[in-house]
Amino acid sequence: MQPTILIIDDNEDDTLITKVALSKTGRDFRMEVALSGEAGLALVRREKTPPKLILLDLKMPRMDGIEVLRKIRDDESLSSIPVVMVTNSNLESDEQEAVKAGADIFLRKATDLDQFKKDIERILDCWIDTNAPHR
Amino acid sequence: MRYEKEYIRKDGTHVPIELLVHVVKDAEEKQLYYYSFLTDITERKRAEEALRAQAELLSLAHDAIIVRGMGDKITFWNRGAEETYGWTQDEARGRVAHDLLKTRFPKPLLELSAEVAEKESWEGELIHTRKDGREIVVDSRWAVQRDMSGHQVGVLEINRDITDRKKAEADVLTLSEGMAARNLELESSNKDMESFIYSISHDLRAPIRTMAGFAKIIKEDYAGKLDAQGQDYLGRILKGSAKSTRLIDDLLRLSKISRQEIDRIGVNLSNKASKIVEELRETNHERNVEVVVQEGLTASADPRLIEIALTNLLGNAWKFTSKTENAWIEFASTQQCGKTVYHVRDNGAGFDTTYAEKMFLPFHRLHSESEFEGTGIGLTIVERIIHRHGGQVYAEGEVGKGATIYFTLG
Repeated sequence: MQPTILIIDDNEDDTLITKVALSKTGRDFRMEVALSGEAGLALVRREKTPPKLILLDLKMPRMDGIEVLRKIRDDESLSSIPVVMVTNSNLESDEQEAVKAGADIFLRKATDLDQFKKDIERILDCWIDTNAPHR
Repeated sequence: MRYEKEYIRKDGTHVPIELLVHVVKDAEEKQLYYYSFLTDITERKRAEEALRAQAELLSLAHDAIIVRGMGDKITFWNRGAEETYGWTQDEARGRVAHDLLKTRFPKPLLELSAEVAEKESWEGELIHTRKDGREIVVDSRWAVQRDMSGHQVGVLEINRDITDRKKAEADVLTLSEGMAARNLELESSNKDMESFIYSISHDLRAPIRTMAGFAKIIKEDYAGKLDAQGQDYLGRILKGSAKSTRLIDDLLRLSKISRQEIDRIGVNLSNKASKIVEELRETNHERNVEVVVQEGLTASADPRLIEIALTNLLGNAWKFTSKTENAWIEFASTQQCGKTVYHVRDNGAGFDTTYAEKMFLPFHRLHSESEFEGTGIGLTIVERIIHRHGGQVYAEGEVGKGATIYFTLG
């Protein structure tokens, strides 16, 4: 069974770039995209097998990343999924808030594609391929 | 009735006397007899004369010099008083001083008189009204004059018109209050500007990332489908978006510096510089640059900010010596007029000193992108950091010979 990576981000261009960066790693997984916090949660709950990894955007209208993260952590069936909080911001306060809410890792969306690809690879190394215990 | 007269003694000398005469009348108003009291007022007259003589000397002064005798009546009024108040000597003599001048005292007259009686003098500001009705502020000094037996003979009053000075002082106060208000306005407006720049830069990041990201993806995956011209255009898009990215990142870095709290502690500048140089060497193995860092350079500074400043300065020196054989960089200090002046010197490309000041302006460069890469924000950041430390920064250079950036930490 292919592991699924779920991308939750309201910016469609960014979801596309993330998908391309992920595909270019050449690893084996399925990708799913949700363009809002609500849609993302609905998707996660619908699936029989939960995603192996969630790339969650911090700043989204209405339900933002922090709220989605809290709902995931509060749900027993979902709380063990590793969540990467992704963002465009460079404020330290955002990073602290994300970690406090339960993000496993905080990733800044690098503008340089090569750098972003490297960052994605490192994350996959941690959470997908090595099956390292994360909670 | 009271008279001042001069009697002649048996020995022929003259003596000034005060003659006090009471008439005693009967019930029908018929004069019965007189009571006479004679007082030798020689001493009193002498003291009065002395006072007047002194005052006469001072009639040359521009200050108003007034002598007040019994009942505060004016007995002396100099030229200066005539000029200051408009009343002539004849008009003023005999009048009660504070009536004539409509004096406004800073304290009730009774209190003031008590003070004067105690201290024999007084100094303060009064408001007087001139003959023409105009009010003036005077700096007034009083000195009590007594005769040999200790009786108060009069008060010597010297007044100086300070209306203009007071007005000037008030103007200066208004001006400086106005400036303080303007400063607050400017500070607030600066803060607004900074927030504005910050949020714009931040908001621009997403679309710039989109452009840069997809241009790169096209280059990687679809370049083969483009002819030479198409590939050239694509290359330009890529360079442009990469440049926009750097500009935005630099703007955000710059605005972060300005907003950051400054926390000064003792910092070892030599250590910081050496570490920065090591990192430069590590990322550029192929380069062979001689770097001299003076030992023991310390200063009171914000460690993070000063590291950013040194990184920029040393990074610049490293960059601009990239085309120089036997590249050499120095970080040292000298003492100038009791102040420590640090400098980063290199023997690289240098610059035309005519444009020395422009170098510090944001996004201003003295070299083109093809000569040396960069957005022109490095020195702006350095300047802002140094200024936040209360220091100064300036540059010297010569094309082809090298450059030196000097700075102090306030």
